[in-house]
Amino acid sequence: MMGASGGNILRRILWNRVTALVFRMFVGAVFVYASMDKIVHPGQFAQMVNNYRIVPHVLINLFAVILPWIELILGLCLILGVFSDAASVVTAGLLLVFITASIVALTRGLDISCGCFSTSGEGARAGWDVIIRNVILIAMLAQSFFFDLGRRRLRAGA
Amino acid sequence: MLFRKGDVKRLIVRSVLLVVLGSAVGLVVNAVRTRGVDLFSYQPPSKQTIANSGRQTDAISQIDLMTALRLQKTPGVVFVDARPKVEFETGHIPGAINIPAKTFEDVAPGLKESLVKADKVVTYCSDVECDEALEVAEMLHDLLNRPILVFTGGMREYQNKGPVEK
Repeated sequence: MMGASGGNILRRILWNRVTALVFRMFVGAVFVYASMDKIVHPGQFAQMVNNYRIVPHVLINLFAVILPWIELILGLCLILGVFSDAASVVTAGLLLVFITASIVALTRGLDISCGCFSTSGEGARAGWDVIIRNVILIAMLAQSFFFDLGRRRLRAGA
Repeated sequence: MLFRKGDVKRLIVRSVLLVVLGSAVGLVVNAVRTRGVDLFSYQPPSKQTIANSGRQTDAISQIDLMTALRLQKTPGVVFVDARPKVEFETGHIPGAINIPAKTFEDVAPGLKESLVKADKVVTYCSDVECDEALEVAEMLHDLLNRPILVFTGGMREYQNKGPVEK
């Protein structure tokens, strides 16, 4: 069992500037990496989107063209700290959309590639591991978002 | 209070800005790149394959709801439900057999004998948007070397017009 001092140490590790910065930059790097293959191969990414059977056919190509660039812009903003508050919120929103899509795929019994990082169709399957990974990324974003918000409050109050 | 009024407004404006910026860049890049995609005319690969292969007229042909309803009452016609098992179990055309596209290789060979004996084989999936019916039709054609019919309207079109088995 973790004692009071252990809890304090954990709290100090999790609730500090360096952790917030590392979490934000890590999620940013994940998003930049995730966007690359999709930007290069929009047609194949459209196929990945189609496999989920959620987006109507008429919107699939539009979605496949736009989404990777939004991911890239969000990733760069998170890494560089530009509009990082808004980037965190939109990124968390996107991750929630991805989680929902994975749950839909699971409930429909679809055995499909998640299309998270690769358009080859040989990447991770849309399933629980993808959901858990995205929940962890949302938690990292929440930490950095609320830590930065708290710091701004302190500065404004000083 | 966690957020002040100005914070929320700024957050919303910045969020919209980021989404609009990403979308605009994506659209511009797609417009100027030599192999950009046509934004509003996505075609699933199976439909492209059939359209380009010239097999549409003889090997694989599409049927509408009325034909499907008529064939459902005709002895010797086998309906093949190409949806995943979970969806098949929620309701399917009476007498249909389930050969999901993803597990075709495992399931289809065991059913080959009954499919060969059938007068007609009709595949279907959930609706006009799904691809599995065409994918399974192509694979069945290769396996059985016989014409296959595809009911493109699928369960969504059928379920309010004909009997459903669970």
